[in-house]
Order: sequence, then C-alpha cells, then structure tokens
Amino acid sequence: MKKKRFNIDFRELGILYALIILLVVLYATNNTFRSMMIYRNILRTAAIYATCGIGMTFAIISGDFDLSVGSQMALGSVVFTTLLTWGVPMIVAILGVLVLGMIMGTFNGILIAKMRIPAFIATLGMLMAYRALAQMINGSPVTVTNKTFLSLSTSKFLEVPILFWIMVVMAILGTVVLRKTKIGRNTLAIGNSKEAARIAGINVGNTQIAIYFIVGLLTAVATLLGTARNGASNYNNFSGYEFTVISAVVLGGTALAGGKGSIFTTVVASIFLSTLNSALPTYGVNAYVQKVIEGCVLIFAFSINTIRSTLSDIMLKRRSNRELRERLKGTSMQA
Amino acid sequence: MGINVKKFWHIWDKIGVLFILVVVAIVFGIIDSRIIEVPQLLDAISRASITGVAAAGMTFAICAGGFDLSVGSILSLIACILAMNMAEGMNPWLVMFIGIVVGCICGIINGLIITKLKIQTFVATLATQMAFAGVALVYTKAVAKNIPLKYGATIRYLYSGKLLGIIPMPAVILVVIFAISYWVYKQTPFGVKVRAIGSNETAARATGIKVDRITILVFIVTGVTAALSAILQVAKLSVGDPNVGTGWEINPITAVILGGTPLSGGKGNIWGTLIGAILVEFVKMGLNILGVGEAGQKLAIAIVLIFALTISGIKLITQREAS
Amino acid sequence: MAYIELRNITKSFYGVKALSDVSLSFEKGEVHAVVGENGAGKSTIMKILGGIYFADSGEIWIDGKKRNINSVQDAINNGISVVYQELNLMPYLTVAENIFLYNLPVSRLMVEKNKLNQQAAQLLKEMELDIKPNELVSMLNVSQQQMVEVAKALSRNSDIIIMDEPTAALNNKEVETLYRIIRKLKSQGKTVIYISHRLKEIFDLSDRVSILRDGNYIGTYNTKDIDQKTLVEKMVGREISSFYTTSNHEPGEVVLEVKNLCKEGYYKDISFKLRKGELLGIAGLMGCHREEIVKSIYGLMQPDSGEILLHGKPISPKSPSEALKLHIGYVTEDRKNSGIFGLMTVRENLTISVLKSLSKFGIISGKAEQKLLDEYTKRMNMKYSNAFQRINSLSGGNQQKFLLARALARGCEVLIMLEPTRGIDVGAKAEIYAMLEELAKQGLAIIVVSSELPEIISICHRTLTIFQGTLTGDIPKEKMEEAFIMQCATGNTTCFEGRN
Repeated sequence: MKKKRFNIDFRELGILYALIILLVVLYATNNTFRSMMIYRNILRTAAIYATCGIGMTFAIISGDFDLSVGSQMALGSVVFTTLLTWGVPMIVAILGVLVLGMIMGTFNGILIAKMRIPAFIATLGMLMAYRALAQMINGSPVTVTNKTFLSLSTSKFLEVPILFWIMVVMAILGTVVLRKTKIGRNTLAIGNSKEAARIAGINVGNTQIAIYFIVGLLTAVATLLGTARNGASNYNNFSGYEFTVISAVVLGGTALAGGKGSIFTTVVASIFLSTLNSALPTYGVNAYVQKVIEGCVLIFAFSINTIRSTLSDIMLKRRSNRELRERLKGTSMQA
Repeated sequence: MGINVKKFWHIWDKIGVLFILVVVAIVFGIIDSRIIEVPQLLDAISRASITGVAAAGMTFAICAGGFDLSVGSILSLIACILAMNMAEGMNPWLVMFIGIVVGCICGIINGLIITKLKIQTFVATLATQMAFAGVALVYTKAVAKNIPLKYGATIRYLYSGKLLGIIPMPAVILVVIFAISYWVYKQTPFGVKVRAIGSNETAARATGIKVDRITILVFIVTGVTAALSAILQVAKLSVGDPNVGTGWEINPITAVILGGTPLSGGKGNIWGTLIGAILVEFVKMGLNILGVGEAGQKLAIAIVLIFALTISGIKLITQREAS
Repeated sequence: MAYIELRNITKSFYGVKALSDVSLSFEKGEVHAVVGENGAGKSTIMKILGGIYFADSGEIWIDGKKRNINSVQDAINNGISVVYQELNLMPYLTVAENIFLYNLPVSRLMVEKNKLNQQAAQLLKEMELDIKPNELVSMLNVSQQQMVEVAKALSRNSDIIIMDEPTAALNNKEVETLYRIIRKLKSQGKTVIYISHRLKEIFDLSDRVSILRDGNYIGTYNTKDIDQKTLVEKMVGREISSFYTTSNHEPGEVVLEVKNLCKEGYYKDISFKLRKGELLGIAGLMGCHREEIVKSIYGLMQPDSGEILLHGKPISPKSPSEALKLHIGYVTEDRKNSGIFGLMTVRENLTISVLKSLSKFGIISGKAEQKLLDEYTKRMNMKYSNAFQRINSLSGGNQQKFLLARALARGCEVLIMLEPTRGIDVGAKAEIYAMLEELAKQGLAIIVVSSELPEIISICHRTLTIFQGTLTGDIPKEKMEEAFIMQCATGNTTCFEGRN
C-alpha cells in the first residue's frame, strides 16, 4: 500500500493547464498582454468573482447553488454606502455588510432546507427580492469617498493587488473549512447522497442552512471588494454576476451534480474567465458579443459532464452498463 | 384523513389563486377604492396580457417538469427586431411574423441544447438567457429604438384598440391564447404526453413516447409565446428596448406557480395561470396607485412568489405525512 | 420447438452475474410460473424479455424466428407486454389516458376523448373492475392502481403477458378478478408468464412452473406433478458450503426489546427481544416490510404505536443522529445509493460519523484519521491502494467492510445490518461472516436482515420471519432450516419457540 501525503489528483486540474496555455498564447501574440497593468486588472476582477465563488463552491458541492448572489452584492453595496452616508464609522459599516450577508444567506438556507423549496426557484425569487430592496433603499448611485477604503482597490503587496491577496486568504480559509472541518465533510457527504448522509447521522437540513450562511458571508466579502473597485454603489450593479460565478465553479471542474469539488479550481477558473474577458476587447469584440460568448462558455462548462461520459461510453463500449445507467440516472427535464 | 388532505389540495390547486385574487382585491379596495374601479381593472387585464401570454407557454414547460429562463431575453430580442424593422417602414404584419419565427428558432435552440447536450432545462436556459440578451444588444447596438407614429399605428392597435368599441384588444388576445392553450393541453396528444413526461419521465420513455421530440416542442411553445408577448409589449410602448426583458422571466413563472401548477410537473392549470398573471399585474398596479415605486412592486412580487412556494412546500409536507 | 424460447441467456451487472446460461421455454395458451428466491434472477430475465435490459449473450426466439429485443418498443412490437412490480403510472392522467398512452385515438389533431373513455370502459368492464375511465389515477388506491397496470398490458392485445408479482397489493376479491383474467387469456391462446412468491397462487393458476436459483436454471415441472414441499426445496436447496461457520457462544442478557410495534401500512404488532452477543436474523419475502421495522429502531422512521426498550428504558429516536447517540448502528442494503459517499475517499467514508472525536478546536486531525484508518484496515483486512482512493473504485466487499467499520468506529451496542453480503464475492463474504461472529462474541447484539437463507441459518442464533408486515416466526436454532423458514416467511405456518 502506497502512502500518499496529500490528496491532489493532477487529472482534475484541466483548467489550470488551460489557463497556462491561454496566458502563453496571449503573451506571445498580443501586445496588451506584455504590460503588467493588464495582469493586475485581471487579478482584481478575478478576486471578486473568486471570493464569491468560494461560497458558491460549497453550495454546488452540496448539490445546490445560489442564483441570488449578484443581487445580494447589489443590496450589500447599497447598504454599505447608506450606512456611511449616515456617518457610521467604517468598521461598523463593514461589519454591517457582513452581518447582512449572513442574514441573507441564512434566510435562503431556511427556504431551501426547511420550506423544501427547490434551490433554484427559491434563489431566483430572492434574486428579485434583494435587488428590489436595493432599489428601494437607494435608486441612484452613491460614490464612496473614504480614501482608505478605496485604496483597497489600488494598493499592491509584492506587486500583486491587495484585492487578490484578500481573496487568497479567503480561499485558504475556505479550503481548510471544506477539507478539515465537520461542516466541510458534511457538505461533501450531502452532495454524494443525501440519504447516505442522513443514515450516517448528519443533519442534512442544518448543514444546508450552514452552507448558505457561508455563501452569504463570502458574498458579503466580495461585495466589499467589488464596491471598493467600483468606487460606488448602485442597485443595478453586479447584474448577472451569479452566472459568471457559477460558470467559474463548474468550469473549474466542480460538477453541478455535487459530491466533489475544489476551491482552488474555482479560483483558477475565475482567473481564466477574467483573462478571457480582458482579451476579447483587444480583438475588437464588443461588450455585447461578449455576453453571447459568455453564454456559450456556460453551455460548454455544463456540457463537459455529458461530453466526458459520452467519450467514456464510446471507449468502454459497454452497452449493458449504459442502458442500466440510462434507466437509473436522472432525467433531462427535471430542474 | 389522508383522502381529505388530498381532496383539499386538489381543490386548492384548481381555484386557490382565484380565492387569493378576490382577497387581494378586497384588501386593495378597502385601502383605496380607486384601485378596484372598472377602468383600473381593465387596465390591469391589459397589462396582464403581456405576462399572461408568455405564462401560458410557460405552463407547458413547468408541467413537463422543466423551466424556460430565457423568455425574458427572447422578449427583448423580438421587441428589438419588431422596433428596428417597423421603424424602417417594413410591413408590420410581416415583421410580426418574422418575430414569431425568431421566437420559434430560439425555442428550437433551447430544445436542442437540452436534449442533445443533456443539460438540465434551467441551466441551459440560464445560458441562452445570456446569449439571446447579448444578441439583442448587438442588434440594436444597445440603444432602444422608437417606432415613429406613422409606422406604429397597426401594432399599437393590438394594445390600445378596442374590439366592438368596448373590449380591450389585449384582453381579447389573452383569452384567445389561453383558450388555444387550454385546448392543446386538454384535447391533444401533445398535452397528454407533456403531462406524462412531467409525471414520470422514465416511465414515459418506457411507454415509447418520444420524450426528446416533445421537449423541443415545449420549448418552441415557450419561445413563440414569448415572441407574442414581445408583440404586445411593443404594441404598448412603441419601443424596442434590449433591456426590457432583463429579469422579466420571473413574472410568467410567478403567474404559473400562483396559478396552481405544481413545480414537480405532471399537472397544469392553464386558467389558473391566467388568473395568476392578472393577479401579478393587479398587485403591481394597485401598489403603483398607492405610491409604491417600481422597486417596491418587484419586491412585492418576489414576496408573493416565495409565499406561493412556501404553500407548495407545506402541501408537500402534509401530503407526505398523510400517505 | 416451443412458442417462446430463451436460449443461453447470460447477464452481469458490474461484474456480478445475475443470470448464467439460462434457457427457458414457454408455450402458447399456458400459464407458466417462474419461481425463485430474492436475487434468483426472475425479474432480470423478465426485464430482458421486456426490452429494458439487454442480455450479454443468448438469444430470444418467438414463433420460430429469432428476435432482436433492444428496447421497450421492440418488445411491444413482438407481442410482449409486461406488468412490472413498480407501478409505471402517471398520477395526474386519467385511467383511460394511462392505459392507452402509447396509442391514443386521434382525429383531426385532437384526442378523441369519448372513444378513449369508451375503449377504456370496455376493457375495465371485461376485467370486471369498478373503476371509472376518466378518474385520475392519483385518486385510486394502490390495489386499484395495480389493476390499471394490468389493464395497460391487456390493452395491447399482446400474445405474451408477463406479470411480476401482480398480487402484491391486491385484496382477495381483486385476486379473484386477476385469476379470472388470467384464465380468460389462457383460453384465448395467449401465454401468461407469472412470477410470484405466493405458492398458493402458483398451484391455483399455473400449468407449469420453472425454477431459478442464483441465476441458474434448475428445472421445469408440470404443476400437477410437483408438491409444495418439493418446490420449495428446489428453490432453496443448495450445498451448504464449508466456509459458513456456526456460532457456538451463548447470548447474554436482553439489550433491546420491541413491544407491539405498529405502523399503519407497513407492520403490525411486532414484538421480540434481542440479547447481548446474539445474532438475530430477520427473513421475509420482498415487500414484507421488514426493512421498515429496523428503520424504525434506527430513527429513520417513527412507529405509530408500541415501545422500543434499550436496557429496559424506552427510547424513540427521531433521527439516525439520535440512534447513534444511543449506540445503535446501521448498515444499509443499498451500498451504492444510501451507503457510501462514492466520490469521497476511503478515509473520509470511514470517519464521517466520528469527526467530532477526531477534531481539535473544530479542525479534523489528519493524523488521527489515518490512525483510525490503519487500525480498521488491519482489523478487517481492507484492500485498497491508498488512503485517498475514491471509495467507489473499491470492490463491493471492501466497500461493505468500510460501511461496517464506519458503524463500529462510532461504538455501538446494537448493530443492524441489511443484506450484509449482497453482491459480494465469496472471499469477502467469508471474512464478513467471521467478523460478525467475532463481534457477537465480544458482546455486540446484531440484527441481520437478509434474503440469503443459508447465511442466516449458519451465523444466526435465532430467526424472525415477517409475512406481509406481521411476525409469523421466532425460530430457535434447532428449527432453523431453509424449507421451514420459507414456510413461515410465506405465511403458511407459524412458530414462536424462539422466544424462550
């Protein structure tokens, strides 16, 4: 029996190889990619997606997800500037956003775990609700004037933007929670089989609420980072964010069906998507075509599973296994 | 005891939404009697036609066990196609026909992604939502297009015209679409097969039903009804705005869920969806009269949706305990 | 040549052979029963005829011609209709719609409702069923739904009708109706293949009976030429292999007592005692609800009435978490879906129930996990290549050992195991039996729910038998013998001598 110290499977790091190849190609062929500035911007953008993605990774590993994170960020951002406008000290405003995130997350979790509302429609409804709340609190953009806060967006440490370092810290914490705590193990277990988890003594409902709490908390951190970057809050901001974040998680290799996943790959995928977003304009692709491309990337990310299993079907040529799996596997219509 | 629970939910599924509409009307009436005056009610029904038509199509999707999240983007896209071409003076009926064809194509794209790439419906339509919205933005270069008065008369009639001088056109269109939908649902093999697939897809396959083909048809239905909604939308405002449909899909979905069509599929309440659509617009209009802004209206609809879902959840729990 | 011939059918699932070179033949105008224990292969071969499974090798011949049955549609086209045990009905469609779903009468784009209802009404009348064609299936009770399932098969006018446990949910009157229908089909020259555990029905209805055992074909007999005792012996008879050990220690004092446990729709008046160090077997046919009884002890279900006493004190665990705290352990029969966490590592699967004890300040200690893994690997002779291997790449036997280890790691006084060696190779089976023996010797009280009678007979001190939710037997070691246990499990006799 071989002794393995760490659990790293190099076959699961496809996105890392893809990113490296992309960067090499861009560096070689694209002038813009020879200056340090674009890389810093890529990391700044990726940092925000990735921070939110850390929480989303937990949700997707457990077999669910959260469509309301973009709206949570808009609401958090608006609350933040509102608190500051009221003269509340910066520290309190920051704490306020974090607490709000925890509340939103817990509320989502209760809808899904206790009210048995399917994750996607519960969070779809909250997507509307949170954004509407944001608009009600303040219908117009508010700029942030606090220099220290804004400097988060511009400062660097060892030539790497602070935003990115903050994300890295969150990612490390997130990975520790996922791999080394009971809640992390329970998340993985639920994603594999809710029934097996129940039999093993796990309280599935409470774990789900905790997972959405984590999503809410990390989304709140992402809100702060995002607001620092934008320099302002607006109820319209972060629209469609959830799709990019979910894309990043799935593109990284975490299957939508749950049961396994990695925060590291989510981070790498965030950088990948951010790089792609920065590269496209340099080829004259306008912002709206980019949206179409984003949609296609999402489709590609989600069909990776199908592509993989079709390939393995062809390779194995086990007809009997396939039709048994057909009979037993989930169906295409069910959400 | 078990049978009573079953019967209660059976009745609630059928007319619960009508009950809620009446209650809401009474509450609004008490707060401000202006809201329930006839002109306002007719106006609510006219507005409801836009959500309602798409909701009729969405009922089939949910009944089959899936969702179409891209209808908002299809709405934007078709609205833009209508506006851009009518503003150039093209024959409005031709443009509307093209719009419906495009809606059909969007539906086929959705259906193919779902059946051939084997991606779940809501994930696939989440992606096409982005893609179609992007196409709308590219097509109009992100600027809303106005239809000049001289070209817009025909289409405007569809919203502001009155049949026989009294009945608003949108209400007529709404009732016609729902009547057709009901007929398809109840009387055609397609309707039966949609319900079969929603009940138990594996068993449906085992009976020899061509699930993939029916799935694509379902999404063609949602695409085409979204296109019809777009026609009404443009008829109302004479503007093709690429952002008009952003986040709009929640309206038809809420209408369907309020109407009593269960999320789990297998059963659909077409007329319930109609009442649901009217309820959604009625709430928005009532709040508007009371001075609540657009954001507050959206929040109210979200609350109504969550409330409706909670009732579904309670239903699930009590049904499980009773059996 | 016979009308229908299945020649040399072999079928495996994930490496485990379900059918080995089975050849069966059926004639026109006969009612032919197929019997065998759970897992003998009866359902599998019927699903192959029905087009749901595809045989690994072998041929199907009908009416002198070789047939390719690759899908349900193929089976239907070849005149085969199957009434499955699991109902394939759409709850929100009407009875008529369900029956004629594959072939709705259509004219001018519309379903001809009247014609549909008429056709259904006709069929239901012929079957002498009091069910309205336009009633929603969800409003019917289970036995009516089962009859609709039968109507579905009949609606196709197929020549070959296969029924898999059709009377499972029926009351006496409906069973009579079914008998009538089957006899009529026979008189019409159709072939009825009838799978059932209910020996009475087999002797009432069938002309011939074929026996399967462990995926092998044993023989076919004219029903009037064979008696019940012989039939049962042929169903279960097999050499008792030498590796089955026999327990030779005496159980201690009572640890768990169940008194008059009832749950409507599942089980009634269940009472028994479990002693320290005792291995108690629970035998019964598929669908007798013995799983629900043990699930109620483990907190996965709550009984309606009755008592469960642990060390004399009443307990009512509301969840597995509570049961675990009471030192009750549980290993499922469905490793794949409700046992292992397939994509997680072997180490993670082992420690999932004991994480608290392995953590310091909330952080799980990798060292402690590894230590636990090493301990159990040695103790149970687990075979895997490294601690981070995904558990679904392990053999069934090793997976089962991990599930057992998971329950033991938590520390239990009472262990419930369902189908402990299902789908496991011979070597691992022996190891698991030895382990259970050892654990019992150390004082663990174990309940073994199993469909493999030799297994129960060789390792258990006592056996309970459940028939349709009631306790029909509490059999002591001396009387534990396959045919006798089967008699109790099929409701033909009772025995409560194990209670002393």
